[in-house]
Amino acid sequence: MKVFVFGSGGAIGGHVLKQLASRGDEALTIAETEIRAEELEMLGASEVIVSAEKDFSGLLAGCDAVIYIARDNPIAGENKNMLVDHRAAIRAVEEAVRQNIKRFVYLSPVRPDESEESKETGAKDEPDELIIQSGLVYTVIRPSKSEAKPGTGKITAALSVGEANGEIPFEDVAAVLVESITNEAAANRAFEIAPGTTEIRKALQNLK
Amino acid sequence: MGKFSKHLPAALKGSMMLAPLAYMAYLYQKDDSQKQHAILRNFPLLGRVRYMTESVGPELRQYLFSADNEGKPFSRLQFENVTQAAKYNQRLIGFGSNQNFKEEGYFIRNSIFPRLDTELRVDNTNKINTYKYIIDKEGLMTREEHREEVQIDPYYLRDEDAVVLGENRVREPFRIKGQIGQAGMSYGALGDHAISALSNGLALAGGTWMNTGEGGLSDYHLNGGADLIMQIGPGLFGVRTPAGEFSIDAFKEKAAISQVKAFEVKLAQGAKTRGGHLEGNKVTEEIARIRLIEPGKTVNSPNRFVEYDTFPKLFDFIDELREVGGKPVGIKIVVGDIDGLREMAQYMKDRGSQSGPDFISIDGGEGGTGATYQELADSVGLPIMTALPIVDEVLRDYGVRDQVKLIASGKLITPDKIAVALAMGADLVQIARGFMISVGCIMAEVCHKNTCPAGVATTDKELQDGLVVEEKMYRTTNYLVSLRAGLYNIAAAAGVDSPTKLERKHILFKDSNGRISSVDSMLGKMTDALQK
Repeated sequence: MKVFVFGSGGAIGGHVLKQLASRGDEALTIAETEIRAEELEMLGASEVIVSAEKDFSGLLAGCDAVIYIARDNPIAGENKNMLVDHRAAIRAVEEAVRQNIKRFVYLSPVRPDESEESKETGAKDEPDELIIQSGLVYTVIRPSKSEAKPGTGKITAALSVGEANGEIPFEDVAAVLVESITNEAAANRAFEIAPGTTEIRKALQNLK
Repeated sequence: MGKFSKHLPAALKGSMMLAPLAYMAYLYQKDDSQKQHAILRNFPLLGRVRYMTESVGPELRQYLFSADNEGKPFSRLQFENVTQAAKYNQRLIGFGSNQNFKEEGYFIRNSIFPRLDTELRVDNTNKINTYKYIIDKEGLMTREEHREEVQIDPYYLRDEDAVVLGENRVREPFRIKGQIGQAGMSYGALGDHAISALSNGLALAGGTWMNTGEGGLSDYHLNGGADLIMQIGPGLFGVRTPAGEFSIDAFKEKAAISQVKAFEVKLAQGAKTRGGHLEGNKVTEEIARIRLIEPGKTVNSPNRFVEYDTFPKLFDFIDELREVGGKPVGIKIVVGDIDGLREMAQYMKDRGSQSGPDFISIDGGEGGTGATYQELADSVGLPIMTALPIVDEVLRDYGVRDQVKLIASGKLITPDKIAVALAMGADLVQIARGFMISVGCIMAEVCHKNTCPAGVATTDKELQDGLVVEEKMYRTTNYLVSLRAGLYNIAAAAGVDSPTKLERKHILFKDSNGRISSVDSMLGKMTDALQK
């Protein structure tokens, strides 16, 4: 499978590239500098396009799926969700529609326990709706607070997880994204994830 | 007390008053009549205050009276920097520096346009799972904290930036994806708990090495799986015949162990340009087995390899070790004799690029040890910031700098000091006491007595009980990784994409009047003195 990863430069993105490579999937991605591109290749990306351009047209040609990590902009600094470039997400969706991408997995910058007001700040929640309306086979994932911790392979997934305890490891968030490209139960669904005790694959099956 | 004493017989109550008085009278009489101490004879009883305060002075100063930049060999702040990085994986400070900027020293020249994170040649592809402490609540008498498993960036050098010992010279070169390792610390000087914690912590951090110290290769150095540099000192421990001569067979055995990546022939160390001394009562069966000596017998190592007293003999020995072992062989020196250095460089040139040491470890005069004499520790050998650029320059002069890697040591326990050493010409840096602090050393300075209160520099079983390997190993990992992260921080500020690219031009010496000099001009001043 050929998967294009947006936002591979952050902590979650690194795990996504690694996990895709270890599954035998081809991971394509984009980087700002050559030096960064080398590191993404070391992580397992099969092709890295070095570009700071805002134009995504043609970028996704030949890809089967897209993983879009919206929360993880390294320039914005760790977990600075306020600075999410929602316009870039919108452009990626438009390009995905043009190229007939079969699956679009989107990691939302919106946290489950966020207030309505905070969700709307900087139109952060706008792409979520757009993706759902786009006609693409989508998965929109809203993770609870995540952190650099070793993965457990276990989560809680639900339409609403409520108030979550603790932080979900980046490695597990990445695993949910990667699993969602092929897991039918995750297709055309928007859900929240939090630390939990259910195996990731099973947790997604249970969404049905 | 009131209720309790009401029911005590009056005689006992009286004795509670009388007993201390009687004891004091006894001491008074004892002090007055003894002949050893003049102070006590003249001021019985009262004179004892002097001895008491003298003995608790170091602790009082350390905890109460020392200012942040005071305290030797490491100031309170330097000590704290290590422990904070090790325990809490935390390197941030608030408000600003506490350094005295009037003092002379080397400063790193920052670029007007520093590097962004995305412009650094770092390898963070394989994260490290470690543990750190998080403070939940801090009160005057209590600190509530808990340990949490975290995933941290390792800050390895990229493969193509890795430092290689013995490249194109030996059958099995040693590739290191980091510039910081652990300097020689023997089993016997440190206990098995400390060595095990270090070995495990360094292995987890990766991109580093552990030097065994001259006391031979112990199971504890091996048990964590860290890459090892085995040190061979004049005592030849671990590679000797019962008669005390070098044993090539014992050496072959050690060289065959895959975890042993290189050998270091120790000609001297900063704190003792002399041979080691090991008391017979410390030579247990186990230590005897490791060092290949007789149990229970005192061993004095000579202060020089008896057989090797000229460069030709030394180089023949090194070449033999490299040929037989197939692994890099280096030497450890202290710089004082600069003519001798020139002679060595000339000899390196004459014998060609396939002979002589693969690396040279330069220990500054400020380097540490478990046991030495004051006169050797304080005043023999040049400090590292003087010694290092001299060696670098002499080797360049003779065109042999490319044949060897330089490893610097001598109180380089924070990223800024390490960066200065790298800029001065070191390829690698090794640390001993910083790592001791990471596993719990409180600088009680009793390493030579087997009574280390932290259970680090002691083989005493009960004292070692305090040092839990599974706990302290992560602190070693965190400390080392935080040093590497700090080096990338400095590289970015200096405008280079990797700490391997720090050069002389990136640092300046500032004297106490604010005048600055480049390393080159400092070198001129250092070596001019010798020409005259």
